Amino acid sequence: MNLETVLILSGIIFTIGLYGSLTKKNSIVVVMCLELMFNAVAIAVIGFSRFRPPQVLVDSDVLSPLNVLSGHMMAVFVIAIGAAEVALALALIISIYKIKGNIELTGLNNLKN
Amino acid sequence: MVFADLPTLVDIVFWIIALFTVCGSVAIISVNNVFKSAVLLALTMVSVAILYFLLSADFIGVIQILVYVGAVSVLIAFAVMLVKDVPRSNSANNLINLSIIPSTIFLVIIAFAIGAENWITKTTINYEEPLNEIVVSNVSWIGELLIREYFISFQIAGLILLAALIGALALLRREG
Amino acid sequence: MNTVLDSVVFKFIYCMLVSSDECANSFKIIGSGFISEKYAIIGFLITAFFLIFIIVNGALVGVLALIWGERRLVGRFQARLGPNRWGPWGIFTPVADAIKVMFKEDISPTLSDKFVFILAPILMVVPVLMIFAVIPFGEATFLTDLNVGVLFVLAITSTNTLSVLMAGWGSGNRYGIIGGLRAVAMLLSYEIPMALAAVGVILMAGSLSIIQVIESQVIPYAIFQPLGFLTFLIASTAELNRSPFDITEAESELIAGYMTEYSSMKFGLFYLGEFMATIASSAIIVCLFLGGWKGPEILPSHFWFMIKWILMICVFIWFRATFPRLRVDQIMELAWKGLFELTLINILSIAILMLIWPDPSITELWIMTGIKWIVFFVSLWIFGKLLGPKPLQKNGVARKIVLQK
Repeated sequence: MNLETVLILSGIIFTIGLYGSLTKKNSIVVVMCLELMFNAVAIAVIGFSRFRPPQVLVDSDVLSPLNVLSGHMMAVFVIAIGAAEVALALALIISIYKIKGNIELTGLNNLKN
Repeated sequence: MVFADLPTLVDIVFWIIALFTVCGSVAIISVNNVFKSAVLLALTMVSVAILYFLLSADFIGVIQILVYVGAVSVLIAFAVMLVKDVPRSNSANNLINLSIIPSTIFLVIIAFAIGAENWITKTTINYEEPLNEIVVSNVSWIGELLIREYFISFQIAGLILLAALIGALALLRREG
Repeated sequence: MNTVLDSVVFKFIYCMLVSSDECANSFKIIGSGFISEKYAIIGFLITAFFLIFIIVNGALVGVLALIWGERRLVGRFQARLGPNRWGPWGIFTPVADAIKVMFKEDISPTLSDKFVFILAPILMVVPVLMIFAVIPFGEATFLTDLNVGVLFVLAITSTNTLSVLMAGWGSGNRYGIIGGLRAVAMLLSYEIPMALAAVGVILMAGSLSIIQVIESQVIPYAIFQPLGFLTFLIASTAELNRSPFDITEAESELIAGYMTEYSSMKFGLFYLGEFMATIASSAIIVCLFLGGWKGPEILPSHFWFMIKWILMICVFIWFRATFPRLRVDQIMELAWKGLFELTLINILSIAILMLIWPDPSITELWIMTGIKWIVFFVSLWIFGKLLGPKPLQKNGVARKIVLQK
């Protein structure tokens, strides 16, 4: 386990999420794929925070929690925003379902003409 | 009692969990039942949480389980149950073949970017020992940082959550 | 922070296996084991396996004892004898039960989703077993001391929402789905007061580690913050799906809700998970609010922990025997209009008191306790006025009952 493997893992998960969100018709699955992408980013920042503290640290030799835990803080915010995004997205999906009767993204072309 | 071999054990667990995470995320987009993908999302999130534990981010791992498994997956499964007939349709749109190209390009770019940088030699100091001390007991530090350095971001995150709550309620309010 | 090697039980087994200087120093009589220090990892793994084996089997035996104890005790509450045929005082009744459950026919309905249907009972039991990993059963007797212990327990208990939903949906039964939806609404609502009541404890202890929470309790938090204790107790009863909050299964309304289609050992796993959760959350309440292993020094710490633990389980049984089941709307009202605000009042009062006395001595602690009790009674009185049943008689005239359309 080193930084490269963690980053590659994060990249793979992000790519899977990207592919899923590009190809899926069902909007709930697209939301899940967005969550996967959020998590890939969180894995990457936690990996950076664990293995390679920021450049400031190398210069000043000061090991303050601000330097070491900045990745953790980013992950906290990623998780918080991810939760908010899911709540809103599902509310949108349900209200779209009430109006149109299905939730397929390919059907949402009312503005086309 | 110092375990010299413990890093190897951590490595083995890491590879198993990494494999599990990747398989889980592939399964999410490949099973044809949306409820099953919601369940698989929960399992994948648990394995991501274990990854965080391995990266000595205990707090983030626990929060991951609390938020993603306890709330987000449940909400998604709940939404799947509220939608008629959709649970059995997880079909793809007509971009299914075309999308492989940008995804592959993205992965290749990331791989090259990671490979180009020499991560180990960039850091000159030996950070292993003191880092562990700070990171292992990180909960109180995280609390301190949240209300000092990251105070404004913390408040904004709270505001966003509140806005999401009100927005979701407003969207689904029954008319009249 | 304590590591796993500070645990006496762990060290004992480990030192019988592995030879090292530290072992030889700490256990003079036993000395040290036969595995050389080079392969200490093997000793570590074997020890971990032993401990997990003990914990899992201990939990299973605990469930058998609980089933027997609950039946006997509920019988006494209802002025009858309870099961008394198998063995002395009916002590083998749960064993007969277990054998019966195991040999029943295992049916899975045609409409069910096999993957989800089979996974649900497993996901019900595994998280509960994981809770036992962070419980300290006595002084220096624990499996791990996570520095996020309390949060870990809350996170792990929150996962059973998903397995209930899976069971409801996977069995392809209308009753199951209704039970599952009710369960999600209830469990998600009661997680919030549960977590907020734990915040009061965390604020006082200044740590999330369960061992440090126990060590910080000069006065047990049940006495120190009655509001937090009451809300945590009610919320955890709801989280356990126990009566009076058992609307998710509700035998008389929903023919057992999400468990309708389950039979044989799959049903057995649900049953097991539920009883194990009762045991685990009694242990958590003992750790967070009743001072854990602490007690007068005349008896060992493990004894005090056991006493408090059994007492707490009896409180849950007492709840079950006494209270009638609440309606769905009453349950949601209690969570959002009652407990949520009460926990906020609890947190606010503790924060203010801690601002006044940042480093309290024992006298100041008792003053704080007195203030907390006043807050407890006043807020309970106000919420009782607001949420309680309206008086049937007003000015001597019976209130008109207006039926809504």
